[in-house]
Amino acid sequence: MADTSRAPRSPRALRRAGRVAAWLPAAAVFVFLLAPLAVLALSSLNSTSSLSFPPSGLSLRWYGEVLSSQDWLVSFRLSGVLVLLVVLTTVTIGTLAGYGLVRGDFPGRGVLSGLALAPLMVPEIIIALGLLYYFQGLGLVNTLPGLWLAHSLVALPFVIRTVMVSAQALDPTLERAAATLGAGRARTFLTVTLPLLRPGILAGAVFAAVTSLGEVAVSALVSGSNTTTVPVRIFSAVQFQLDPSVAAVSTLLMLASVLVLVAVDRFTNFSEVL
Amino acid sequence: MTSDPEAAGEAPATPAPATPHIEIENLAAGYEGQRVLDVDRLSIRRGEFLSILGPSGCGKTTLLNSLAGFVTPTGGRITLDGVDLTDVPTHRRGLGLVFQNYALFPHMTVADNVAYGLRVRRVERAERDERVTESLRLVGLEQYAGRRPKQLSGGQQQRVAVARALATRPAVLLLDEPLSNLDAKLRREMRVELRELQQRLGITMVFVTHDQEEAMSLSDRIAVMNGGRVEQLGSPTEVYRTPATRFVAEFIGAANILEGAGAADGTLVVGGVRLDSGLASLRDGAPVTLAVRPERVVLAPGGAPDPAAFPAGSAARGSGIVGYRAFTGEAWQAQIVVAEGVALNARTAQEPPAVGASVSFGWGPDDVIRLGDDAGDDAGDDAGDNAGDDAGDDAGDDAGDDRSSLRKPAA
Repeated sequence: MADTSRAPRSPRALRRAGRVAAWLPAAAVFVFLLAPLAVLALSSLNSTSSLSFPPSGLSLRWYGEVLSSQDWLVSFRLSGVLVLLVVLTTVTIGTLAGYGLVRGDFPGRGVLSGLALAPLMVPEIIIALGLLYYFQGLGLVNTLPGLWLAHSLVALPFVIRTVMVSAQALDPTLERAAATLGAGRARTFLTVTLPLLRPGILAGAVFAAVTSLGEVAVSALVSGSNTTTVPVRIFSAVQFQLDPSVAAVSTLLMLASVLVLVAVDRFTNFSEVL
Repeated sequence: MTSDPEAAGEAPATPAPATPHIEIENLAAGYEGQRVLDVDRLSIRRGEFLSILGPSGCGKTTLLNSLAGFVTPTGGRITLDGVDLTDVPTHRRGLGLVFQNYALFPHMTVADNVAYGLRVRRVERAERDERVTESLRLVGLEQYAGRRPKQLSGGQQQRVAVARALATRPAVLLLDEPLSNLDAKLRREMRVELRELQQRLGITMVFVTHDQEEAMSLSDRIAVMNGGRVEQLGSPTEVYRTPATRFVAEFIGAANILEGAGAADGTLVVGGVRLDSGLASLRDGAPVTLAVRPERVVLAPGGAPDPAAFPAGSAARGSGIVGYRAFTGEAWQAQIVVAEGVALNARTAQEPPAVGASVSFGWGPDDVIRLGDDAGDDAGDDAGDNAGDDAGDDAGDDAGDDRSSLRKPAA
């Protein structure tokens, strides 16, 4: 009896040990991924002007410095406006393009979808160079429209891609069903197609926002002294004055992204739509 | 068989209630030059349950899609109450459609699904709610109004699809194999429900299916389709008892086909064997095609026909060897090898002799169905028609003739 009752215990302990062993590498990966962010957030609370870690004292002085600096505020406003413009543009164009590329039946569809996704395959710095030459001629360097176009170009393929995935999963008989119930094409698109493409559109919008917020290579070449986006200003600040204000800005950006993601996840029930 | 639908289509002009509701004339459709639909004439009566029955690829779905407006025909006309529908887009046709995969909107509740067509028609809220409840009650699902389609079983989803299609009170309800995704028991239940619903509402239903049992049990009339054409249009009993073509005889009820040369005394020579066909006389030497239903074939043990072994009304017609037998629950299924390449299927209540035993078979004179033009009496009459039939026969003989009783046993 004693033997049989003890026998199952040792495999159970083994299984537990195995589970812990499986968790360890996963935990290590997470630590590796999150450590830089944690270090950055902690450094931003440093009370001295050195960018050392661990911080020598805690204070919010660098946040105050950043939020009272005209330069940073201008950059924040510019990046905010850009995110809104870029998300609106790329979601509109990307949704129509992604849906059309999946559902449409026209010659050259394959070539077109390849072209639409091409910017994903090209190194950003090359796109940046091309845009610089191109915008120079058009007088778009160092302007808001120039940055808007440039960011949209870089972000658009993400939206097209995610919408295409949703469109491929969309059952065409649903649209036929709407038609048999009397809905015209526009109504069907608005009441059936769009709601069902929503996961892809939202994912695309998040990608577009993050791309626009974090884009450095293209922005650095296309922007100028009047149009310095937040990441470009961080980049140049790090080169000249390495103080915790940069860490404070980065932490603010990070918080903004987290808030957006949480909001998207909360207010749209992905699981139900999927 | 182009002549049969025409005859059947014109006949209902006499009785008053059977006015044509949908008229299909010379309808042709195809993809990339290939013609998949070629319907000379099909007239659907008001308030009838018409099944479009055929194997996959016979054009039945294309016909339904043409009715719904999903497929633009390359020629011909569809009229609904005398109005030409050919150029009317789907959303203005006012037809209800129930899809095989239900096609419920996953992002809406059951009630919103049913209300969709009413919202499109700008029906006021109070009336809309009333009609949604009424439609859901019709299919017995009013307590599920707030659920999402995913939370319902397949049968319930299909009922919601029916309720949604009926909520707009369409004059015609098209059903595209609506029961084929359900399990056997549910399918039988839904069959009864659908038929009851149709009779209660008096609505015209066009039901596409490949399941002959479904078509037989539901329909007022069945249009049997093959190769894009309507082979026969008639009531279930007509289609079963007097199949117009060999295809219809085989597709519905899997009839045994006996193809051979006739003789004046009613003998049929098939594969070198002489059989008593049961008919009084056949034209001497002329090619004859006969069909006998497996359930009409009577078996008696022993190769020598013993007249007493056969029930009244039937007589021994020939003998063979049992090549295969199986118990299917409600009956026995047996295959009798009559000669090299000639076999006969029988369904009998009694256990047939063991495999390899000799057996004699028979049937009554009324059990023999004489099939169409192959009697050879009017070869020149309808050249195009015969050409089409021949092409079909050739293809069938070579390939998909598993159902045929005249199969060559493996060497």
